[in-house]
Amino acid sequence: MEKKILEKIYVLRKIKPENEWTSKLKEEILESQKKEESLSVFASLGSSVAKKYEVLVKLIRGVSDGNFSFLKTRNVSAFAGVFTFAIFFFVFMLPHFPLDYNRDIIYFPASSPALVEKEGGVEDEEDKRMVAKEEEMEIKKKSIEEPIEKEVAKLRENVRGLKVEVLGMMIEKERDIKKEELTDREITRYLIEIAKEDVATKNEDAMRIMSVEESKEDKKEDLTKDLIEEIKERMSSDETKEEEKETLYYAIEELSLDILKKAQ
Amino acid sequence: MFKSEEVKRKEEFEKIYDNHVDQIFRFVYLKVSSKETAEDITSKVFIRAWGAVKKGEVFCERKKGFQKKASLSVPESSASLRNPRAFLYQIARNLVIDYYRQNRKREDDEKGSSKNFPQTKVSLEKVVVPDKEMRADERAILESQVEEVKNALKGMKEEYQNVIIWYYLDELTSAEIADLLEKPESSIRVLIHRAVSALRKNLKTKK
Repeated sequence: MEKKILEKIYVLRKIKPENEWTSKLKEEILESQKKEESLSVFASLGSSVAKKYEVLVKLIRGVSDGNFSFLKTRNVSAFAGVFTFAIFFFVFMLPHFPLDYNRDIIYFPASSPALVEKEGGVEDEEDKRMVAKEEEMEIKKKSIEEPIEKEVAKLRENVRGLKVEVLGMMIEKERDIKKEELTDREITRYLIEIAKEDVATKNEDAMRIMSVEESKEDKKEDLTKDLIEEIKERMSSDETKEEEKETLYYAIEELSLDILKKAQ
Repeated sequence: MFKSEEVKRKEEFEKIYDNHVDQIFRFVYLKVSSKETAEDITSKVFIRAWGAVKKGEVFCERKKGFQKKASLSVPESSASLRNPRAFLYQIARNLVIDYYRQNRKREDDEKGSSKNFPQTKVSLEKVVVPDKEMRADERAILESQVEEVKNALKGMKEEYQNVIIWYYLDELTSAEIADLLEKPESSIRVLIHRAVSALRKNLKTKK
C-alpha cells in the first residue's frame, strides 16, 4: 500500500474527544443509575413528587456537606414548594387527625364528616352493646350446646363400645380368638356385616308378614267366593222364600263388591 | 472482600468506557460532520451499553434491527463483555444510521458546504489533538490533512469507511472485523483492499 495514503489515514488518529467531556460523560452515565434507584420508590407518585424528593435529597446532602449552592439553582422553587407544604402539613393538618391508636386506620376529616360528629358519641356505644350482646349469646349457646354434644359423644362411644363388646364376644365364639387381636378395620367390617344381616333379617320378616297377610286375604277371598256360591244355591232352591231370596241377592252383591275392591 | 454484582458491573463498564470512548468518538465523528453530534451519539452509545451491562443481557445488534440474544443461559459477566468493542461499534453504527435518516437533508446541505473551511475548522480544533510542541502552521497543516481524508472517507460506501477506520485507525484484525460484520475473513481482506483503492481514488479526485 502507498506510504502516503497510509500516512494520511494515520493522521485521523489525532481525532480525539476532550478529556473533560469524556470524564463528565462517564460520571453522568453512572450517576443516572443512582438517580433511577432513588426515584424508583416514588415513581408511582408522579414525576413532580419525585422531583421534590430529589430536591430534598440534594438539600440534605448540601446541608451535610456545608454546600448551599443548590439555592442558586432552578430547583429552589421546587424546594420552596416542598418546604411550604411540610410546614402547612405539620402546623395545620396534623392536629385535626383523629389519631386513635385503637383503630386500624386514620380517618381524614374531609372524607368522613359524619365520623367527626360521632366521635365519642352514641353510635359507638350502641355498636359496643350489640357486640357485647352477641358475645353473650354465643357464650350461652356454647354453654348449652357443649354439654349436650359431650353427652351425645359419650353415648355414641358407649354404644360403639357395647357393639364392639358384643361383636367381640360373637367373634370369639366363632373364630376362637380374643377380640383384642382384632384391628379397628376388622371390627368395622364385622359391624357392617352385622348391620347388613340385620337389615336383611328385617326385610325377611317384613316379607314373611306380608306374605302371611296376603295369604289371609287370599283365604278370605276364597271363603267369600264359597259363600257366594252357597248363597246362589240357596236362592235357586225351591224351599227359599221370595223375601229371603231378595236378602240373599243383596248379600251376593255386597260380597262381590268386596272382592272387586280387593282386586283393585 | 466480596464485591456486589453491581459494583463489579460498574467497574467493568468503566474499564470498557476508558478503553473505547476515544475510538467510538472518532468512528462517529468521521461519519457525522459536527463535534456536538458526535458527542451526542457517543454518549447514547455508552448509555445503551451501560443499560445492557446493568441488565446482564447480551445484545446483538444487527443491521436490520435490535435483537435480544440470550439473557439466562449465558453467564452474565462474560457474555455481556465478551466482545465489548464489537458491541459498542454495532450500537454506534445503528445510531449513525438513525441520525442519517433523521437528518438526511441536513447532511446534503453539509456536503454542499463542506468546502466552507471556517465552519469545519472550528470543530476540528476541538477534536484534533495535536502534539504538544506543534507550531501553529504545523497545526494548520495537520487540520487540513485531517479534513481532506475525512472528506474522502465521507464520499465512500459505509462499509469501506468502516473497514478503513477499524483496520487502520483502531487496529482491529481482519478476524475481528469479520466478527463485527459477520462475514468470512477472506471477504474482509478483499473489502480492505477495495476500501483503500476507493480512498486513493477519492483523494486523487479531490486534489
